[in-house]
Amino acid sequence: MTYGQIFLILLAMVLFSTIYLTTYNSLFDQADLAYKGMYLLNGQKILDKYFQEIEAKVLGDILPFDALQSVYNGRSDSLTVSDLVYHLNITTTPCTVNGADTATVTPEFIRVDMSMWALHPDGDTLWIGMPQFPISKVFVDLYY
Amino acid sequence: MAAILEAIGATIIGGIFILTMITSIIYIHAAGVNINEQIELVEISEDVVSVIETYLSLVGAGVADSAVISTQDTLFTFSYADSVGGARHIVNMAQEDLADNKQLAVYVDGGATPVLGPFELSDFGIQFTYYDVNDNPNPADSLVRYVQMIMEFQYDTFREDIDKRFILHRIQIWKYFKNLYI
Repeated sequence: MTYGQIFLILLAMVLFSTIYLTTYNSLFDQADLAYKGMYLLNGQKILDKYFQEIEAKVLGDILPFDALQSVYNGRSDSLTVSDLVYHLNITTTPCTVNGADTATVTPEFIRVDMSMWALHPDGDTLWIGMPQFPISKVFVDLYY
Repeated sequence: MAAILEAIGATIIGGIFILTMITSIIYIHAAGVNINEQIELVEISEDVVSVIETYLSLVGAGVADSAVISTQDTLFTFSYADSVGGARHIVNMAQEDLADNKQLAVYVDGGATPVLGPFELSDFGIQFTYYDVNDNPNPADSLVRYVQMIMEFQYDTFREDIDKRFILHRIQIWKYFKNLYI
């Protein structure tokens, strides 16, 4: 075997290794995205649980609408789903029907804003709604 | 003689190199297929959960009593009516234990064919936990106001000898029965 042939073989091995590592890295990135997407979906379901809780309690008059702010504004909670701890923050704001802030003392509408974060084992922080861009719902006082 | 030894050595080294390449390509292919299956499983199971939530929204609709009929860890039976005082329907949301796996199915009015499913579940299966209005778990049936449902769907893996694992997707939902709050 000549030096030229040995060089060609080494070149082929380097080329293959490079292609292999690049492809594997892309696959790893895709898997990472897929798994983090699953965590985000879980987080959305937790947020939905709290929205449902408020809806049900207001609908059933278990929670007077006027008490919604005192009970939920500033509330924090932590919930573990699939071995990941999700940290939830809730704020409430009197608002108009469109969700715009209002200073009314006895509002007909209250906007509930939720944001949540979870610390992924790889060190990334996953946000589901952010404090400055929360996931919101507007609730109406049925007996206003 | 030297030429023969050289040829044998080159064949062995070349063979090892080609085998390594083939194994690596197969491994990458398996990993790629597994990722696709994971994404597909997430899509399908999220769709399934949406339909399950639709059924759970019916709990107690149009019925004055016995909205929640049976509350077990892997079986939830409830009723709803077409309209207030109208025809009553019974829904069974159940985990079925087969010889080699578990599956999720939803039956209406005792039908033999499920209206939803069956969908393959992992060994974990389904777990229902029921709560009353004060968030106390496992109350009497008449006091149930919401349910926590955990289910884990699974796919068979691509090739067990290459990447021996199941593709799993665990989903945890909560459903408040608003009809029972009114």
